[in-house]
Amino acid sequence: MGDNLVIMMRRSPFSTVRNYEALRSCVGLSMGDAPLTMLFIEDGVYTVASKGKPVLEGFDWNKHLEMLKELEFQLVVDKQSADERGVTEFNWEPEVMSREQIAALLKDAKAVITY
Amino acid sequence: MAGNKLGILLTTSPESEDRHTVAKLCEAALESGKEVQIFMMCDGAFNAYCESLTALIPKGVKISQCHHNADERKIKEEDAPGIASASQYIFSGIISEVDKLITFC
Repeated sequence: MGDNLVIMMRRSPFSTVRNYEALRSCVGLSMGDAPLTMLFIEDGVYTVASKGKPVLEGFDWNKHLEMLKELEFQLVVDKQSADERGVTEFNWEPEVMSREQIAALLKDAKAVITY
Repeated sequence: MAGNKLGILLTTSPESEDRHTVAKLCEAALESGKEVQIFMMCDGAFNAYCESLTALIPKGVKISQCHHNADERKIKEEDAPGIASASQYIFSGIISEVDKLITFC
């Protein structure tokens, strides 16, 4: 088991502020020592979809993604989830991974926080 | 569980069954000699008002909550005696410190 911390976002960002909160939390957690990976899976892939515009005023999650990207933390998209939803273009250049690669990522994590 | 320190992240409001689960989990962990730390954020901050959780503080459970989320919900520090007002950075320290983290999101 490594020290890596995985934040897994499963829900659509359009009906809740939890993805925004999760990413805000990530920015705070990035100040810690543990390597951090943000994983977007199932409806969570809409968070990084290029056509996914924030609709809840005051909760634009892109500012947190911009910060995390600048800090060079890993953003990962589940390929199967993106394919199922027809999402082919992404913001913030996430790494698109297979379920096998994601399983290995989770297996190696010290903790997985699911939103 | 290999280690002796348990961390719990609670982000759901008191209406959720998570509150009861966390309380019972903490009691069981304390009985088996574990150290327990709870971090509350999002609507989980409302659990500051729940006696089933705050009653664990004198028994040794450390509870802290996200200051930002508590402030958003108008939860004042004096409303939550014994609960530390903390940041996500503090939460990252908790994650590093504990042997196992269980999340209720």
